[in-house]
Amino acid sequence: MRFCVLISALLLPAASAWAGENLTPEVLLPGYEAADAYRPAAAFGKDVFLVVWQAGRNETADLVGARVGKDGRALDAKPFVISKAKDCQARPRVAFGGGNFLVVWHDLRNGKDYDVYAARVSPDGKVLDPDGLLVAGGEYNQCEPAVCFDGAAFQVLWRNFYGKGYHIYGGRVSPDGRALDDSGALVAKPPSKVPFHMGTRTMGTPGLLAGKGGLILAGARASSLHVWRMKDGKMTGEMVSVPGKWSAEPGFASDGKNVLVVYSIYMNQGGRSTGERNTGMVLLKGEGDLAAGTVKGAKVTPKPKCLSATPIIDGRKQVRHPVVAWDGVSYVAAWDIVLGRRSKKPVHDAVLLRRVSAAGEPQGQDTPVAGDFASPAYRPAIATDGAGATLIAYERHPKTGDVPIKIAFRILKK
Amino acid sequence: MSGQELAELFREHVSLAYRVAFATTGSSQDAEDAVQEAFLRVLRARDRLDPTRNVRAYVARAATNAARELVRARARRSCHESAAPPKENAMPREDAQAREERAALRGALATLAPEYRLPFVLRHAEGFTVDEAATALSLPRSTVEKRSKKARALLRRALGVAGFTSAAPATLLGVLPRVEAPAALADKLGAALSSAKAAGTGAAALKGGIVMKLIAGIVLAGAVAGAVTMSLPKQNENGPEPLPAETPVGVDLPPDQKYTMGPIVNGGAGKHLDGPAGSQAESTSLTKGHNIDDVGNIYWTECQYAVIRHYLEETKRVVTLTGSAQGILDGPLSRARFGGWSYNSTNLMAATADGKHVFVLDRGAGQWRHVDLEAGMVSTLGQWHHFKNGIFIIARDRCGEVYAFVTSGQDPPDCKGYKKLKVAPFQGIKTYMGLDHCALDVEKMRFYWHARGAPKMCDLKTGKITQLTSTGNLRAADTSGPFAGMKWHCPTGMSISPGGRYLYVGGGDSSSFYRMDLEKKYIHIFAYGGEIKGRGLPKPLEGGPFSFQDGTERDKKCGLGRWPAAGAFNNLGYGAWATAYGPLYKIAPVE
Repeated sequence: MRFCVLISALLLPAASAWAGENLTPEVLLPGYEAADAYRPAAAFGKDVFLVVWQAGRNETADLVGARVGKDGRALDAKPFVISKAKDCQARPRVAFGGGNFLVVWHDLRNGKDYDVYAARVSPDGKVLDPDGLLVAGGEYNQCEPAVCFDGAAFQVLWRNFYGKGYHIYGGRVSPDGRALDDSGALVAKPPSKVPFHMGTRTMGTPGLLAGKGGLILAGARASSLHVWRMKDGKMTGEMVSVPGKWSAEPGFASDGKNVLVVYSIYMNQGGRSTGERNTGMVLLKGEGDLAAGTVKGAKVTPKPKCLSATPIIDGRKQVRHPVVAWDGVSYVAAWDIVLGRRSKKPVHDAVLLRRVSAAGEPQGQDTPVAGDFASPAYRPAIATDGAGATLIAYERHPKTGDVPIKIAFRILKK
Repeated sequence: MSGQELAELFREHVSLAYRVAFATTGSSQDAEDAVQEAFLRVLRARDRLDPTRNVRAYVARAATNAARELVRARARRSCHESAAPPKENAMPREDAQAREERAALRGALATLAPEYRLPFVLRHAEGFTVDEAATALSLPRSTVEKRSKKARALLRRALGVAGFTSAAPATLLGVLPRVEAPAALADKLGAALSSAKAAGTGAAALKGGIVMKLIAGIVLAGAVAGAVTMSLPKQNENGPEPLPAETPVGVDLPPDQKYTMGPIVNGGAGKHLDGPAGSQAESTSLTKGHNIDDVGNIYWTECQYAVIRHYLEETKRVVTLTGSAQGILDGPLSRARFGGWSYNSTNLMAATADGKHVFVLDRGAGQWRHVDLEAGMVSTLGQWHHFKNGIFIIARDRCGEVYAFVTSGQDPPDCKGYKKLKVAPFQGIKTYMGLDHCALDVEKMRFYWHARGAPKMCDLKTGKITQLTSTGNLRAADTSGPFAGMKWHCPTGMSISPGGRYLYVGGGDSSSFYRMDLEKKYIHIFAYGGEIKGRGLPKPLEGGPFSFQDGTERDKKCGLGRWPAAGAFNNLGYGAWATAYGPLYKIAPVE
């Protein structure tokens, strides 16, 4: 039996590649000053994809970006600098709206704690706010922002340290590059009681999506994922407490009617963690149209479904960093997974993708995007033109230690 | 610099150089050798010397470096010989009280790590300003201040333990007779300088086997930054360098010592945030293999992301040290990849007290990995054939021997001998199979562990095993008292204090840390983790040893969380602890 599982694991990627997914060849984006590239983020607007990433790690990290055409060509011969301020600029996110992209990140330029900064980038690759504008500052950390465009302004959410743990705060940035809400406003708090072993009451990294008539957001609240809806910048009620312990890293996409939430989850069996980590997903019915949607009990899928169909390889599947987009036909989800068998052959990270139907049903098998033992792929980002072209960017780690980590991408077409 | 200026420089500073070298080596003979070497370097660099600059600091730095190199070289040659105690230097006869006080101070000074001893001596015995001391030691100003302050506190404590409660270390040091360089040293120096002049500083000198010394001289003069790299040992060539023979044995703090405890990084699932330390920084829940070096930097692994992170004492920041995507790759810290470590293992790595090396068992790769923090590189030391078993402790003794103890989840059949791993360059590595949650007292060569039951101790010199307590369910009545009445069930984590007096044991279900006083044969709750509902576990002892930084209700109980993992202590009594899913704490003795 174990042998069969192993054979399946070895054959599966190849078999799924036959399924007919149309992926362009991998392209490596040019590096920035030999710095390692981490944590890509991507968005689409005005016929170009913008990929941004963190160049360098820790104190040396800067933010850079490069554009990609819909046909899969890199449009910039070298990446342009978005912020090269003192100390660390890291964890970028990007959205398109009002004719420009807005890149948000957390920044340690004050040397004491993180603040949230943002900068607009035009579709022709010009940075309109060199070194960024302050979106949220003040005492303690304001960090790990998420961003979307609601039709009038960019909505930015971030984690705000309050002395013991984190709340989620939100604020707006106008399309002409002004922070509209000084220091932002409280959006979500952790529950008043947390499990003993959790330690601190805290909120995890938020996810954010603009829908018709409002926004929805998700955040890891204590040990589970919660989804809220917002209108006019205020929360109007909690929609769903997503099942599953230790849920985190939420991502959203909407087909205009429903919303698919993907998130990293520790799988439970009979209330006990199996040690397996997968990418769960829940379809929220009608919440894409928030004005008409219900508030509670809107889950189409009563239990989280697992995105990854790759068999458990080492007793414990490690699936992380899920992202999702609606490409006009179906949802496209991507994630990274640890492949290999620890006791037999070396492990490595790889990026896989899978389509999910509008009804929330996973389609076909997992499709390998990139990553092998010699050159792993890690932390995917996703963006789509909504008309069948979906860019998946990821960290491509080198075969030898003298070559920097780069950002690579492939484009999935209908 | 002219010959006359040079001669004056030598005359003026020979005693200073001698005292600094003596503070480093603890031996008058070694100090003399180091002074000769230091002045040879000054001679070679004379063309670059600017007499208008701080020559005193320059000489002190040359003497410090020469003395350190001498100590290291000596340690390599005869590391298995017992370290000689600092020799008495020629001192005038004093009254008994003063002599005792100075002897106590010298003894206390000898126990300090050189990182702390030298800033203290330069500041308080030599009268260097902070800036001068920083120049002499090639350290940032703030580091000199911190280390000098810490040295003062540690000396004060040591003197207090020795019964000199009113003695102020700096004052005592100030009244110590200033040691002058022996007259014979000047003669030796003159002869050595003459021969060096004759040899020149060019090719002839290079052929004399002093290439590395010259490189050090170049580095001293700050002329060629790239030479620093050349002077580092080659990766993987000889393994870690032996510890200096005079590396001090850790000193245990008194039983009533008070501590503060503050979070370095918070726990929780799915979070991983570098940056300013404290509750703001976050870990991905399972931090394992905690180590703390003598500077106070704390190192740990994160099971979910196959990375090593560390807390930097100087900047008070949490930084991902190495590890990125999972895989196996040697190279620079930022690109190195690890195959990952187990979800439920402890003590997967060890950091050396000098903060220069980290060793980690990469279970996913089945390899021993070496993180050279000075070179900023990760290398693979060799294959670990028993990677199904977790490594639970790696430790180095004063001779540089590396001991690796692994678990197979069963009691060891006996405690005789070691298995040697034949993986270059770790020919000397010693493994011991069949252990669980263990601690190693490298000075006394005693090994502590528990295997689903009571803590046990093995004298590695004789192989004799002693069970320290009974086994059984831990109950309220069992949590404070002599060993004989104690029972343990499923303890988690274990660490030993620097002097080997206290054994710290995680309480497993009880979520507290216990301290076993191996000298007094007594055990009590050292850090209370709070009560877990339905288990009826004990209250903390009144007036426990901790105070808390933010004074919150939760922190008064420590808030350690469940399953305390193995902690670690450095030679100065500072420690680091964490629990599953909980914060990682730094423990600091109250000065």
